[in-house]
Amino acid sequence: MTQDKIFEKVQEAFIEALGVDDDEVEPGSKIFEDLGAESLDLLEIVYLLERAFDIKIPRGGIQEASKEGIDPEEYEKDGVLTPLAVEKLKALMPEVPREEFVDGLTANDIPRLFRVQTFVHIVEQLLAEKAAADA
Amino acid sequence: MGDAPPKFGFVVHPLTPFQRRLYGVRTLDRRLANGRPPPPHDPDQPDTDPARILSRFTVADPHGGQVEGVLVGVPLLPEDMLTDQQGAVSAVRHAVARCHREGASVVGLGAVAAVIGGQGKAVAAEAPCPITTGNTFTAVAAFQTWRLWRQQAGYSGPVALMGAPGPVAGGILRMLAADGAQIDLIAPKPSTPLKRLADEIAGPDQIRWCPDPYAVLAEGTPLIAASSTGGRLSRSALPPGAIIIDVAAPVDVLPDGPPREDVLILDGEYVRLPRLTTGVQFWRRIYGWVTGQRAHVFACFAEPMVLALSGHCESLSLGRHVAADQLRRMEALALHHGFWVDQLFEGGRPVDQGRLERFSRR
Repeated sequence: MTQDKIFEKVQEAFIEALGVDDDEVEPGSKIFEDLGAESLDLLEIVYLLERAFDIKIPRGGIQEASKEGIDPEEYEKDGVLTPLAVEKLKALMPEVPREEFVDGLTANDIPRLFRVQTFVHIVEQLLAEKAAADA
Repeated sequence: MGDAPPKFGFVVHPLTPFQRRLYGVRTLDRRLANGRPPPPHDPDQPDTDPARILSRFTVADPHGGQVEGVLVGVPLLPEDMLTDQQGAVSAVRHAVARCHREGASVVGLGAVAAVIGGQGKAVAAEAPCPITTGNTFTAVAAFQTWRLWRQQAGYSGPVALMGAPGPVAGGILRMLAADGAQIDLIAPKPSTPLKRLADEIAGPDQIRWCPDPYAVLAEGTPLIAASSTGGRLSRSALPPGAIIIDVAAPVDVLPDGPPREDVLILDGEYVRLPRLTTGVQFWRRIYGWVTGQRAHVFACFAEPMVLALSGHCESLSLGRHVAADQLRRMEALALHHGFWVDQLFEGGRPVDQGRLERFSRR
């Protein structure tokens, strides 16, 4: 499936969950600030995407992925993500402008960074894993 | 012989592993009672149907109307439901169908069952009868709690609100705006849809945007906390004199540190239950044990009771929006059938006048 096709379906999920217009849902739209999503809305978006693509989106997947290969004590200190963890997040979320990875970022702040494109990437990756597993 | 009373259903689930063991004891399910998880549901194996009837009871209103409730449980924990939404939606649909087979003409969804699948939308899409999450009456109850406190305290200043544009907070915002309140809307960075909602329902000078709830509380402004996910405030960090109506589930004010006499944290969704005529044992032993209440009930639980009593059995409170006309209608219907906020509660216990006076003197 092409990235454009994936984006179309992701866009549909956002429109259905948030009641926003299609021209508001752009790849770079921030989920919370631009589209007004709440945490519960993310749950619905995940549900809609799982159904639309027949995939299973793990809870906290990005946070878990950012922990891979990092000693838990090196991941956060005093509740704040370490530079190592932040670098890992930057690599996992290339769609997020670098300046938003500010000092003092906590694990709870991670969803605030999400763009619509973040979900396109997640779906792309899960579809690729599924295709590999089916092959 | 008169007609049988109308029926409503309500779907519940255990919130903790201990509650699931009790659920196993009550439903004679040895596996659950021993602390093991339920087997995967197989439609061809009736024994694996997750839905079990937990209780029946009858509620009577002041006009002689009666409604029979059937409480159906699914043995899934919140974590199970959030991790596998599709499986949870399927289990809740089974529970709704079970309620319907028992004669329910409307079914309420409790706790996380009301959250998964787009806050009731996915369950309602294939349900054999109307569905409600209770968000409309919850918003009404929070507003009524605010109004009751305001009357008792003789307060006439602004009120702060946290959690908009979530469904409950959005409903409260509509009611506050219609009431002419000056509203401090807590939003670190107001989103476009929230600004749009505020413009739509409030006058130009009625809303002040505030990023920090603690700063608003320090100014002496009471706060209605109704976030969708809870846990947004810490009790130990509240400024002395803070007044909060906490309607979030789970609660917004985390009970860290010791209890405090210098802050008032009111429960925002207890409404009076008019009268129970059957199933009193259940109410005292189970509902009373879980909630600490006997004569009051969570508004989300009361919503399908009100709908069934009034004969307005239709899907309500689904998704992220609660409409203004639904709020007004629900408040009127509930009042007619004997459900309203008649008392303030703090930590599940009635607030007596002495507590309010001690707090006011500080």
